[in-house]
Amino acid sequence: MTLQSYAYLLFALVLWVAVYPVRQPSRRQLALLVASYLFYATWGLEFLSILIASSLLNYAWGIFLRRRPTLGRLWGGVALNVTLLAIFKYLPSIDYLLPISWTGSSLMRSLVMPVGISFWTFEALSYLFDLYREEELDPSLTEFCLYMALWPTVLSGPVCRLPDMLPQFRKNSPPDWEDVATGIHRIIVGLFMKLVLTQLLIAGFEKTGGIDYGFDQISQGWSGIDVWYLAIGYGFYLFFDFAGYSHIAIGSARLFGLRLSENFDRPYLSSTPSIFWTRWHMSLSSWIRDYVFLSLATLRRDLWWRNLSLVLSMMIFGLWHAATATFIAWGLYHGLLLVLHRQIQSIRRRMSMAIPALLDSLMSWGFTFGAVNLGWLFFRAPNLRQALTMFRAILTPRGYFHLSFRPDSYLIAFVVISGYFLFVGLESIFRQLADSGVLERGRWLLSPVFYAVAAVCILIWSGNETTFVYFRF
Amino acid sequence: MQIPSHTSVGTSEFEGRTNRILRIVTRLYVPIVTLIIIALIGSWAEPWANFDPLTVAQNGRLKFQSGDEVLAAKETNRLSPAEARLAADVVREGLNRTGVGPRILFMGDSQTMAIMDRQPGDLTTPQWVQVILAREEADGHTPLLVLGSLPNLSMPEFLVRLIAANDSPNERVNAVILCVTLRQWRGLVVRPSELKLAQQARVEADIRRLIATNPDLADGDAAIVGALRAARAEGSVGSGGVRTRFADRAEYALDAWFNSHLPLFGIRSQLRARIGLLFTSWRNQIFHITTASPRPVPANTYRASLQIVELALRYARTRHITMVLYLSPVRPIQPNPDIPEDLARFRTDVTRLCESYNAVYLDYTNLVPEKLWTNYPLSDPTTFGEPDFAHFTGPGHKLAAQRIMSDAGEKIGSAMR
Repeated sequence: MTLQSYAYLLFALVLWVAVYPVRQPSRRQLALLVASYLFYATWGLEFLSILIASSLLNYAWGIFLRRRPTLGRLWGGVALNVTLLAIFKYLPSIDYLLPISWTGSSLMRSLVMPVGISFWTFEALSYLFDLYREEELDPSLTEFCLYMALWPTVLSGPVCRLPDMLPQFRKNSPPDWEDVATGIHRIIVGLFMKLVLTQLLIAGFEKTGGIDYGFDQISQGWSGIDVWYLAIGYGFYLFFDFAGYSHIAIGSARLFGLRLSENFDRPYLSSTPSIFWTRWHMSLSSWIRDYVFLSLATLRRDLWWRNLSLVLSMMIFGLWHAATATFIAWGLYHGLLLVLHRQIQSIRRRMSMAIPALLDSLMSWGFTFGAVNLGWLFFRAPNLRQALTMFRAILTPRGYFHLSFRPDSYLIAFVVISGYFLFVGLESIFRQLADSGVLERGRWLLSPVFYAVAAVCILIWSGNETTFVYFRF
Repeated sequence: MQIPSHTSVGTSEFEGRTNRILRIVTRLYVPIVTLIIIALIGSWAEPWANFDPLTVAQNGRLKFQSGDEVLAAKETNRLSPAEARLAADVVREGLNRTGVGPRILFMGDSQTMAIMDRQPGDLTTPQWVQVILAREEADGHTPLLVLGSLPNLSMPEFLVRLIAANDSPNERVNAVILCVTLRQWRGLVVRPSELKLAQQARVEADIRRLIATNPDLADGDAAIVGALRAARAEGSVGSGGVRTRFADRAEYALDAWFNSHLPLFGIRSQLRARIGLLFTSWRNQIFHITTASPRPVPANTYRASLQIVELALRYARTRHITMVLYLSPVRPIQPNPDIPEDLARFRTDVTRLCESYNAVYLDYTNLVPEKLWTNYPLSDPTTFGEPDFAHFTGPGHKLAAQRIMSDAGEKIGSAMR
């Protein structure tokens, strides 16, 4: 069951009606845990059994670690989780390196990765790290299992932290009207992004061509414009897909009074790569920052070491997606981009260049937007060779004079992406006007129109869904 | 101003009740008005969506053969009832046609399946080829013509269909007649229906074997492998490719229930198509795009399509299949969507390929005269009476079939023996 399906909406409605009257936290937790396990079981009982086993092991290891939080015990827990991740996520992808005749090879090929394992394993790891840092965490078994299996996050995040979730599990007040209204708003926005915008970008109005086609079926001969179209188009596709999904997940939890970590905050308006990484896949990027980068960076005080830590952290970020050269290259690319940004910042500080503020902002935004989008070529290309060929096309000026796809593809991508920026701009203006009281009456008029149009678009484009990219991770 | 205490209690109770009611009204205002607007949009959209999104429905002059036409009626055709039945079976059974005797696979795009301004008794090119084969066969074993054509057939789809048609050991193909059209080399898309065909175990194994043994045709290989990879990603969730079974069933059931009970759900695909049509119509008006606007063929899709044809020729050689390739008729007017340089290159490359693999090459680009072509109807919402460069009338089909059989009949006949 996916979060954008009708079956899920029905499930959420039934669950809400069943759980709303339950006031006692322990009963409420139990009801949510059972519902979460039922939800996850729709993906396969074998997956559920792995999730339960991981939860029990981590809970037990947590008790062990809390008694004496030593580095050895922490590494034991980390090794446990990384082994689980490696068995299901990384081993099947390296089976081609082993001799076919080896009996273990067929076993490795038959391994099926439980959906969301990367997300809930990282949640478990953050629990162990927090215990090692001697945070005051004393979850009951039900609370910990619920933290690991909470249905809005179990498939594809946001990656939550126990210190944020535990107080919410324990509160005994039911969700208020504000929670419900915000939850429904987030779900509608998420469905609109996930079902309407992603599909328009990925396939246009007809299922012919589009971005996947450009990456998968064309192996060379892209023009510079083609590559920019594919890179920016895929970047926005990924954003609408994943941010839309995150909206639905966050909205679903909010219906039950639970506030999850945010995952996206208008990332394409970022004016530097560093800011981008505080706005894109925020729950995971902050995880990497807190548990990987800071742990590494504090080992030495040299500048080169801090830069190396940054690059290594971003490579681990890439590796989290999959053990392929393209994802590692994507992480390396972003690590180098962040280091470059730091160097430029320090040079600018020393030179104290006077650039008009607007021009400065525009240039910074343009550089960040272009650089981040080019990075998606590593993320999406089926292999490193193709990604590098596409980069070469970008850098070949005479290769800008032909187009490889139907003109509709460029046009739709342009309309959707411009529409997004226009919407963000208008939303910000409306918000300012509403805050100042100018649009108080207008909001009464605009809100139902906005929701009705979004709901009709969702209805029209539902039942025509594409695969969610982040289920692979 | 001081208010007496007893009045104060009454007022506050009243105010409290009023505030509560106001709060409820305020809270319910947005959902209720939203639902009303959705209902209004739904009732307005229902008649708007009441249309058939297929091209054939928009273009009243174009008719696809279904197999139910009265084929023996036309005096000039002089079809016997048996011939009319054979011709009807060509379109009725399509790629699934089975029977005893040699088989010819006929493939092309909608040009080989549809007739402009169809008259009673008109046949398409493959139907005519089937009739001529029946007339020429003296020993009673008429070769069966299997129709593998598909509107907008891309070259990866052609290869998939060729391999699928030749897959069963008892249903081998003896000869293939392929109508190659420059306009279909502008893309490499494989539609979901064809991907399903490609994912059948034997077909996929054959495709993979063919690709593995022909690494020199890298662009063609990539186009096919890319489509298969995309299909696997689309049809699976998670790296293990596990589908959610119970949830899938529940989703289908809910979707079906909504479709039958809520009007807006039932017309979703029509609304999508209608919006797409509106977009195309606006696009054409804004950018002054007509059916005659030049449509260049991108170098990479051209190269990949050419390599896929070469892959097919190699496949045919190993399976002893006789290949007949004909360049589809081009409407002899200017301006024309086919750019002369593209057409010249197309001619040269296909000729070279056919010579290399001993396939029959027929250039019919100038075969059908202008009088056998027509325009789109004025009522068509995206073309408004502009010239149709893809389809021609019944006599054009007869002409094409007769020329195929006179130019390649001998080679096809020898493949049947």
